[in-house]
Amino acid sequence: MVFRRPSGRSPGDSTRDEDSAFAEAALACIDSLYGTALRLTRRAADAEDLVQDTYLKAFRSAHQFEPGTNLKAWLFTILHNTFRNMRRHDGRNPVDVDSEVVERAADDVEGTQSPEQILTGATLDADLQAALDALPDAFRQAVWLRDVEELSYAEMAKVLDVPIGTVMSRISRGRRALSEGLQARRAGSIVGLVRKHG
Amino acid sequence: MAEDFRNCRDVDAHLAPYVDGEEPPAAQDAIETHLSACPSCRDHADAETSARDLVRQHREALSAHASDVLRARCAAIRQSAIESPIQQSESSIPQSESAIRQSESPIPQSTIRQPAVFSRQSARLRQGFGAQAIRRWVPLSLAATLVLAVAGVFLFGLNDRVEALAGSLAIDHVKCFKVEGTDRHPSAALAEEHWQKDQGWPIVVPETAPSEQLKLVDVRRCFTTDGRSAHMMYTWRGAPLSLYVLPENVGRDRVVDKMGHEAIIWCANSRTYAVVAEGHPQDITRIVDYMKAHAR
Repeated sequence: MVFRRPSGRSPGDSTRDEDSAFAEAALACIDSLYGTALRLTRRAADAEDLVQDTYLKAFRSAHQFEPGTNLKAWLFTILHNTFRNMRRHDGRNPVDVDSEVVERAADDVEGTQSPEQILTGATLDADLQAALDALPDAFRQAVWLRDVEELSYAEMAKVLDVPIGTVMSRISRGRRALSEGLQARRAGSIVGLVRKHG
Repeated sequence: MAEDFRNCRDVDAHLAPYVDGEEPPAAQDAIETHLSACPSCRDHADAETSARDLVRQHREALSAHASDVLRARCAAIRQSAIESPIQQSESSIPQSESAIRQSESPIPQSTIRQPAVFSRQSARLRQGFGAQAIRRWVPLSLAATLVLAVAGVFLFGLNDRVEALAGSLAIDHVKCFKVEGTDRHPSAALAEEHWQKDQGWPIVVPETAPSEQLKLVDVRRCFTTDGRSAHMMYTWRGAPLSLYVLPENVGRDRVVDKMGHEAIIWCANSRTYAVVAEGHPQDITRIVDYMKAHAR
């Protein structure tokens, strides 16, 4: 969604109407922000805190938003920055997104089934949710922002604060790892069935 | 074209835009040619395409919906922010390309940069907010917040760490009671259980004690102190009293007078405890002794 301030006014002429339009456009993104926050924090209470913090900062800094650019992507950037700061304050390590080990992890799992075999049966939302949640943070965020929130590579580069090449690599690895995770999940359930029924 | 897509490495770096159909036609064709001759890359491309399509098909099911309570709270935040916008820039706000790049270095935000009011996680959040609670968020005036923020900056300018701690706890104490009110009475045992589960370290929450005129109001995580300490909110003789537990030993016992509040700080084992309340130190001694005996 692209939010545009009403035209015909000088740039500094911020009026109540504009503020109100900005706020409404921003609040319309709440489901996207909450869903993304939930994928980051994995806990509803933390996700709600993160969304509120994001709005607090966004509303106070509305004048810094560049009209004509993607408001949702701008909000996502605040959300991700706030999340990184929260992590620091928590005493936990910020998401270790650049670890080469993580980037390579997806290559280590070699599949035995074709992707079609894996995916045609894996249509259960729960399976997909679980496989997505099991991804390393960097991959999950990349797949989420691209395939659920439909951000462009350039917007994602800003949100995640990494070069576009890294964005593309993470999307690619994330999708591959997701596919492999679903395969493992299916294999696991088949093994479970075999055990159960002898 | 920089790559001719003959080797797998080049193709691998472009699989995402290839799968998304965002490569220029020439590159799209060159990658296609490589894939038709390279089973390994073809497998990768197929796996990525399938995962992409699957996530996109299930987008609706994967999406989350913000609760009405969260919507109401964010709308309330909007109201207070519109009334008094803060023009200072924050490290979380994207300003320009260069500003974003600069923020790659970890910029520690001032510990009480923000009123942690909106970023607190309390046991109450999991129990659900009542309409009354929403109303309590709204009147929290920004003026009060600013006073607290300015006081915080001043206090953190002090060299003495314990003094600064006392200051930030006094601020947190005032703010939390302003936001929360005192009309809830949770179970101490349940609060202990939640804390252990969520934070990974145990606390002992002194229970409501009619003989001491002490009533438990809430147990929260205190973001003012880096989000690591427990904030137990009580009323004592009808007035707000806070007990804080930090999972570290600051090494000094102190009694500090801050903003009309007494902060009594003591250390035991690997923890630091603090009682914050209004009143004269001599009056508070009794309840502090009680807390020392029960909060171990």
